[in-house]
Amino acid sequence: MPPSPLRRTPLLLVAITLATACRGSDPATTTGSAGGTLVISAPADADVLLPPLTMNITSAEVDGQIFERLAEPGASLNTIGDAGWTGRMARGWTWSADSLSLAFTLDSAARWHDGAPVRASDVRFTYQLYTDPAVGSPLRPLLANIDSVTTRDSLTAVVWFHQRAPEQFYDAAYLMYILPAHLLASAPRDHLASSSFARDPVGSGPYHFVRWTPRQSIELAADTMYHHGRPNLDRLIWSIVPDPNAAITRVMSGEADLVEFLRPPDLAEITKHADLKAVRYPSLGMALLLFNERDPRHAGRPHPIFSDRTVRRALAMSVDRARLVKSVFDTLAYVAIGPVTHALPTYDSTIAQLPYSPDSARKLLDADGWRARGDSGWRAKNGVPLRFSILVPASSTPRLRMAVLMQEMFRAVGARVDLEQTDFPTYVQRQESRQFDASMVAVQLDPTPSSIRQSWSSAAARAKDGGNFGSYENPAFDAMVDSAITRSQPDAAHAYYRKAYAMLIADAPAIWLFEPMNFAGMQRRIHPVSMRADAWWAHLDQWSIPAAERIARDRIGLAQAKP
Amino acid sequence: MHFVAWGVYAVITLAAWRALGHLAAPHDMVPRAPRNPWSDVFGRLWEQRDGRVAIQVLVALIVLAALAPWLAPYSPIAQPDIVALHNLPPSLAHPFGTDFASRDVLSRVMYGARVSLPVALLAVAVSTTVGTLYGAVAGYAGGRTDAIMMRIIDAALAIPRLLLLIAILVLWGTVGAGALILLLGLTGWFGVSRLVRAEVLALRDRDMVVAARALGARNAAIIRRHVLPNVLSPVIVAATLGVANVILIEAGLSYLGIGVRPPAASWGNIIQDGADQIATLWWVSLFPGAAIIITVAAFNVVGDRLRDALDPRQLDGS
Amino acid sequence: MARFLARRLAQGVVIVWLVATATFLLLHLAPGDPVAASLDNPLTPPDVRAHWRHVYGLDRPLGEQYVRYLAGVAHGDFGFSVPHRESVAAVLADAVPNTLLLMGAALLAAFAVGMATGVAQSRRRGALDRGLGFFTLLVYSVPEFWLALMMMLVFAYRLRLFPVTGMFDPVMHPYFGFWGRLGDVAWHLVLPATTLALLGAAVVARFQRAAMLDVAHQDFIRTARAKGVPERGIVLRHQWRNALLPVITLFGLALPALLGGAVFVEKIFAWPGMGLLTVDAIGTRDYPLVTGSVIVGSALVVAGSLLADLLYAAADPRIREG
Repeated sequence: MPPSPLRRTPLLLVAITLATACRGSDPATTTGSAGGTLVISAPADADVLLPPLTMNITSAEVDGQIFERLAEPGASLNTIGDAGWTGRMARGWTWSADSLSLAFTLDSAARWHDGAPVRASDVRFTYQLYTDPAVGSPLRPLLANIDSVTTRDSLTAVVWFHQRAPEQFYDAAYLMYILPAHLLASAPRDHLASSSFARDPVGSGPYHFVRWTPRQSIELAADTMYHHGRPNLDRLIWSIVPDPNAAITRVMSGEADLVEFLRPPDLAEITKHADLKAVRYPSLGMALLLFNERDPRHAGRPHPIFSDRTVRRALAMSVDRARLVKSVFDTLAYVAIGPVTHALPTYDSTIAQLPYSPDSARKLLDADGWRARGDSGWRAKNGVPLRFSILVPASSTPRLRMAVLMQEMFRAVGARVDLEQTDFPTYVQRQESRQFDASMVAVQLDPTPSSIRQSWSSAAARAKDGGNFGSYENPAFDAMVDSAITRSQPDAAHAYYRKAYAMLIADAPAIWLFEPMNFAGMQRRIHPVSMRADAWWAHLDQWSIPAAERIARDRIGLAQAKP
Repeated sequence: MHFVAWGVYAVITLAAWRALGHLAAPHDMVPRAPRNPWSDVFGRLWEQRDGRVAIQVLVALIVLAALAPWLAPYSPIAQPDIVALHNLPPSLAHPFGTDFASRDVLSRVMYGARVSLPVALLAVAVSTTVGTLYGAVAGYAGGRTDAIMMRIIDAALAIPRLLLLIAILVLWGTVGAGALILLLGLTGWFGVSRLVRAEVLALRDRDMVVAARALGARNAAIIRRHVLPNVLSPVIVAATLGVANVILIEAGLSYLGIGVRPPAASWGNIIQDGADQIATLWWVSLFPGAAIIITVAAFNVVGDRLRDALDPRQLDGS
Repeated sequence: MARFLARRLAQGVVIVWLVATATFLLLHLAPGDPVAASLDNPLTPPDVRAHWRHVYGLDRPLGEQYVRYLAGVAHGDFGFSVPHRESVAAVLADAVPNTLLLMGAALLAAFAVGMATGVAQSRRRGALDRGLGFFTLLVYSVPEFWLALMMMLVFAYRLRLFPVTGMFDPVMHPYFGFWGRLGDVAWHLVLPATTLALLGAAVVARFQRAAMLDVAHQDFIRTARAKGVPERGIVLRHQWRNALLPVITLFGLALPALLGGAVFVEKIFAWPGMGLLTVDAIGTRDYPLVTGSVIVGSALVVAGSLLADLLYAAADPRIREG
């Protein structure tokens, strides 16, 4: 039974007593139902706290508390139409008769953290900011279907679309966090990241910004005037701990309250502690081994190995995915079946998969002309050796380990594999510039199945900054995805998506590896609420710590709102 | 590659023993039957117990590394059962346990010696050669040339070696073993050159050199025949201690993922395999760490004793 | 003395300039596009990237970039760090004091413990000497990242005596009073500083012991003993003061080693200092920050060795007139 945090830190107690004594009476000391401090062990520092610019998970988590969307999806993550969505900044919405415009009525009680009321002009300004080329937001192409945003009156913002599409509502409500026009209008558009607003962001969400100590911590405090009700927790703190061992140790020793991802040995440790619990939540994360079908060394030429569909299928069949997943994750991950996870409504485990069969793989390779040479057993065809390298980022231990295990499996069928381990920024750059043979990719899928267009369509393969890094092109697949996207009946759309997945599995542009089961490790006194697949932090304002279970740092209160 | 490494080290040692013949000779020019330098220095090394133990340890390591393909119980890269046999703690079947891919850690550590040791030895060979030449030229030339050359050395020594290596390895990406050895060697010669320069400066004005000059011998010949042999003793000591240092650096770089790359096992990257879960898989990081400590300690002891043994004040019994 | 100082100072400037040039060359000759990686955003359209390239002057010829850079450095302007979204000078100003704190504490502990150990070893040549010698040899042979990992494992994870990582408690630190904050930082400092200090102490002990033994054989010691000076006085006034000299030289050499060694310690303990900053900056291709960091680091090293030279001159009257 580990020592409780209180016993372990007498210095802390003395210091707190002194500090509170010296500050005199503390009007906001919490004894009621609201109160508590949640310390999150975050694996990386935020990059920039401006929603149009951020690509980083910690920034997304922090922004999700400071800012608000117009509406939030339900747990089922339906993105076709508006079923299941609840208003956040908006109180409600109405469609026009021709479905080409959508009028959001904003909650009149919504306020910016500096006290100014939220207005429809803020929504219009936000759209202009997100789509301004000078800002360079990666979300700009995703907002393409929105023509403009106008204001009917001070609390009604109207979103106009170019054409009807099943995911209009998702485009309008989900992609943008609404920003304050009166504070950002004068900021320089191309230097937004270094503006004073970026260092001290002001939003309308349940928590307001307190301080950001670079590389150490980010602190937010509850906005007591939040229009959906005062959040239960007083304070949210992201404590940045890049090392996974240290991150979990902090939670176990009581220095932190939550770590968002547990590895199998960590899960075993957590279950032994009476103070801690593991909470499962759905996830949109998965990993795959992507084949580059274009030759990275000679522009314009197809890849000598991976442009051949038979080779790809053979390689996919030589990997025992079930054992790989069991070895690296024990029971804490599923074998991935395609570019989809359990949390998406289009998931279907009945779609036919390529079997694990090294014998079939060898036969296929033999028949295709890849013969084993000499006693080394490595194959070659027309002088081209069956040799390639797998690009892995050093930051991901599961992917590294899986790559080492797959290396052996490929060796068994005569394919010679080298591992290229790089630091994360290099990995991103090599991937984006398509300088790789095969790459261990981990994706966080969007909460909509339509995102497979960005990753697998021919248009995305040919566009210079498209997301189809393997350059897989199949017109039949494109047509299937187009059909899926234009269906406004969810069942019909899902049927087309499943056919599209079946094509991807058969063509094997990648080997679908694993879908981790997300377990968050947290202190028992934390009571979480509905952790959503796309954002476990979406409802942090409803989490609570019962008064009876609070510890010292929960009782600080909101007295010190600003540094 | 291993034979090259052993061969190089043997050559250097041989050259050193021969050079010692000159040092051991008395200063007067009366020719005497040269004493066997081997027995002198080696005898001194062997006398001390720690020198003896250290040499035995090193010999054992070299033998283990060279004979690893025959002595290792399992293959270092075989993954017999990645589900049932992975992450096993130390046992009779696997004295050092198994890692995440069910590979035997003992075999990997033995094979790791075949990478870590030659890399260190070859790198030190490079740095010793470059440093000696640079230092000899600077010391012999003297004056402005010497001053400029030494300024450059001062600047080079002001940059932490590790940071420089990290910068180069990260920026240039994957490098092969050969390039890694060159890099390690070319970032480590600065101290040696200072050492050599100091010795050469002292020797430059000694009688025999002045005499040789007066007799019209060319500079290069003087350097080769008089200066270098006398400089070799501190260089040998520095080289031995340098090997210890490079083993530590290579381990650190491999731990960061930028040194020796998998699947080749080096002691550093075996530690990296286990560092992620050090609390639960402690054996994967502990044993290669211990191997490093033992090897580095042995080289340090040998270096120290060599320094004592080669100390010219003790050679003539004066 | 003043001439000596002025000469060493001038040499120091030359060294820093050489280091800056070497770093500049190294970074700009490396493959890879500095703008693409440091913009941190793979989906940035090419025209925006070209715009940034122009803003940072990366489309100018190399020579011109070099001159502009040197001019900036002379004014204390090291450029702008894109990943950190602030000027390099500001980022360094945050990190340098943390490294100085860590290194200062480690140096102090290393030299104090190391010198005491070395002297003790040289005084009693028996079992104590051999025991301590073996211990220092072991510590000296340990890779510092391994030592850091083991320290964290034993003291932070298993024994829960000290915090795992960081420089201060992320939750409570702003709410402490002055003494509370000091205590908080000190408590977080213990493990990383001890790791560095252990290694340093082993080196210093070996040097000090060897130096003491060397001096012990010299004539003036025998003379002092013959004169009847008490043993304690001999050790302190004659032996130790002379044995200090190589140790002071060691101080000058220790600085770059410490800065480098701090990289692992800072990384493993997440201590927000220059070592960690530099390694991260290399990874994100943050060229201005890497260059600035290396320059500041080498300036620190030069300053340190200047200090060592002054100490040496103070301790050794023989070189004062030089």
